[in-house]
Amino acid sequence: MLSTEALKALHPHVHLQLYHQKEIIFQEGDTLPAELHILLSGTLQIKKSTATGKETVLRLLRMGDFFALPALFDESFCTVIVLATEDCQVLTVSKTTLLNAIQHTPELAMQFLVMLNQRLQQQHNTVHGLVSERAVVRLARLIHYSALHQGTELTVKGEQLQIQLPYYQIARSIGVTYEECSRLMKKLTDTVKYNRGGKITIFDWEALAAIASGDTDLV
Amino acid sequence: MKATASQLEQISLFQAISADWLDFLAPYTEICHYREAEIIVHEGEIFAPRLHVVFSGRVLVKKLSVSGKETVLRQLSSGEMFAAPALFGDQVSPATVLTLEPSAVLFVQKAALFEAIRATPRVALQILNCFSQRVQAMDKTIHGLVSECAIVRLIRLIQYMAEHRGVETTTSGVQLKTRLPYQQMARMVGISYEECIRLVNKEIKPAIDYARGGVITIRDTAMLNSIVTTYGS
Repeated sequence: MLSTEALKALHPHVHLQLYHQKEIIFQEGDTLPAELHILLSGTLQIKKSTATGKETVLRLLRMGDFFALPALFDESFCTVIVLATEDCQVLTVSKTTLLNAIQHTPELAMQFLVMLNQRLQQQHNTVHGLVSERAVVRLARLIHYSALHQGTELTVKGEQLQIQLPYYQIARSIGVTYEECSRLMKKLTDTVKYNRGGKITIFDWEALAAIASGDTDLV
Repeated sequence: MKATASQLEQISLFQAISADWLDFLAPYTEICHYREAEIIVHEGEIFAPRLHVVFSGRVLVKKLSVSGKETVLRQLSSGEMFAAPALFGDQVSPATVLTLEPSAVLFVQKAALFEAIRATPRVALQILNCFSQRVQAMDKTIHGLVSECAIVRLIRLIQYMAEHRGVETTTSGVQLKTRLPYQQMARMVGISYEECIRLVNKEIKPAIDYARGGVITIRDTAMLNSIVTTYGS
């Protein structure tokens, strides 16, 4: 996430845009404006779709995350779908302003590089999971990762994930069918609980981490 | 062995850096040579804080699961950087990097590199552009693994390598400069070795030719595209 100082440095030159829940900000193939987009509040889903309509959910973005970065490097077509999963506020900074800011404050570019490195490492883990791990390990990893990175809140039933992960979204993130996803979730009954709409509660962090590491046999 | 300023100049990443700054960087560099199949970095190892760039040859980046299954993430050739967490992360190696042929790697110490970048922010933008392209390429890979069938992923891998790593025209068709042995392709697209052999030799056989060691020749580009269209729908 970009630091408050970095956001302040850009502040005089930004524009604020509001998007409603379920609004599509960009479609695959859309022309990208020469701007950087930074999510100020709300949640965005980044996904891709095949010719037949099969979808892959690539990641969820939260406050301080940026998107549509290729627009800064003369790649004017969007390669993903950007969807607001709740009401969102998005800051935009023109390419010229951002490049000037980087010339004056190279640390800004370093922050982007740190964030992009995290995104790349997460992608590598996802690819590794898809190629070499069982589906239940991928499911446990997604829940564990979402809990660590998007946060949890304590409820009477246990620690509940701040974000909601409905079956469909999980299925399209880890490469299984909706039905398989529901079946796999039942395997994790002692560890996590799924409630209507994608509310997930963690009962046993240690067991979840062990399954996510691929080191536990689940029948 | 230290790199000279003129050796640094050959790396596209440094082309925006002035001659004075290249002279400044040279004492903080090292070029190391590796034999074929030598491991440069082990997964889980702590990195020294420095930039890693393939100076010559080819290297493979892969990850290993607890059960011993392997995933091949990328193949890199000269000029490409790797081990990004050594500069921008937690300094723990997230993958194993090994050579596919005798190779050399250029290392540049982080503190000196960052000083040069502060004087030439264009370098930071170049790295940013390179990371941004990798994120897009990984998005495509993940999308393929989640939503496309194995034959489409295999053809896309071959097409990607043809487009990004170069080809040469031979009498039988267009030959990939990069070698892609069965095992490597299998561990890149998430199928077994046997399934990879079956797909290459049966399903896409007329469109491509596979020769010992992973030499791939595309005989019919239109047919490859039509297989993607057929299986993709």
